[in-house]
Amino acid sequence: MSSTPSPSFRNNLVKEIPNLRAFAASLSGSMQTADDLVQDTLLKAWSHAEKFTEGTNLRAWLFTILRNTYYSMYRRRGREVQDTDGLYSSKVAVQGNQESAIDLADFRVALAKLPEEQREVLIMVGATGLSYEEAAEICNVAVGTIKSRVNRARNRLAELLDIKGPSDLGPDRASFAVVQASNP
Amino acid sequence: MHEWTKNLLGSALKSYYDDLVAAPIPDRFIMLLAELEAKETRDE
Repeated sequence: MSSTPSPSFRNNLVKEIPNLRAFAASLSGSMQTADDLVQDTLLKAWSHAEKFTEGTNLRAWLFTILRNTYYSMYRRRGREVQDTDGLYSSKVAVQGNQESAIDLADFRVALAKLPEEQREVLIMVGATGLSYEEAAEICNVAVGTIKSRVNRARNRLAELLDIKGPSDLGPDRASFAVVQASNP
Repeated sequence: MHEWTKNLLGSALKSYYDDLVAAPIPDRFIMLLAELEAKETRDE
């Protein structure tokens, strides 16, 4: 008989939902697919709760489930849907130019052009707080592979967004760089 | 790659991701977990 997941397990699952959705949306390019993926992930996590080792990284464990589910069940329908308009709509469009020298709309387009294996890894280590080691475990590849995927992803993004480096500074980018330097 | 470029890409990536994380959570997930929990309690 399987044991009931503890209330703390449930609460921690709830806390991870925003990250699961963000990762799923980044993988699939569709919020609808992302929500289906998150639902499947929560169901699997609940029914296999006894396989989670307390004290280890729940996010890494959940990402592993979500990613495996995506590649085994969703990938084909994933990026065909592309309802990204509904995903970002109001908020982000306004933010872009004010806070970052890279327009976020441009960034999203560039990110979507990356090969899946590069995009997922860049997001894991660059945005979700997972370590290279955790990303390696999630993707079941060597840490060196993760590092090289991240490097290739960055280089490709710089190319797609036409960023050449500090010498490429326009006035906006120069001021942004100053802001960045004073707010690390 | 220059550190400056890495930082620029890194902050764009974080803005992109943080916006997704900040999206409101649909009720269906909270309801799903409540149902699962209720079911476990019934089964015990």
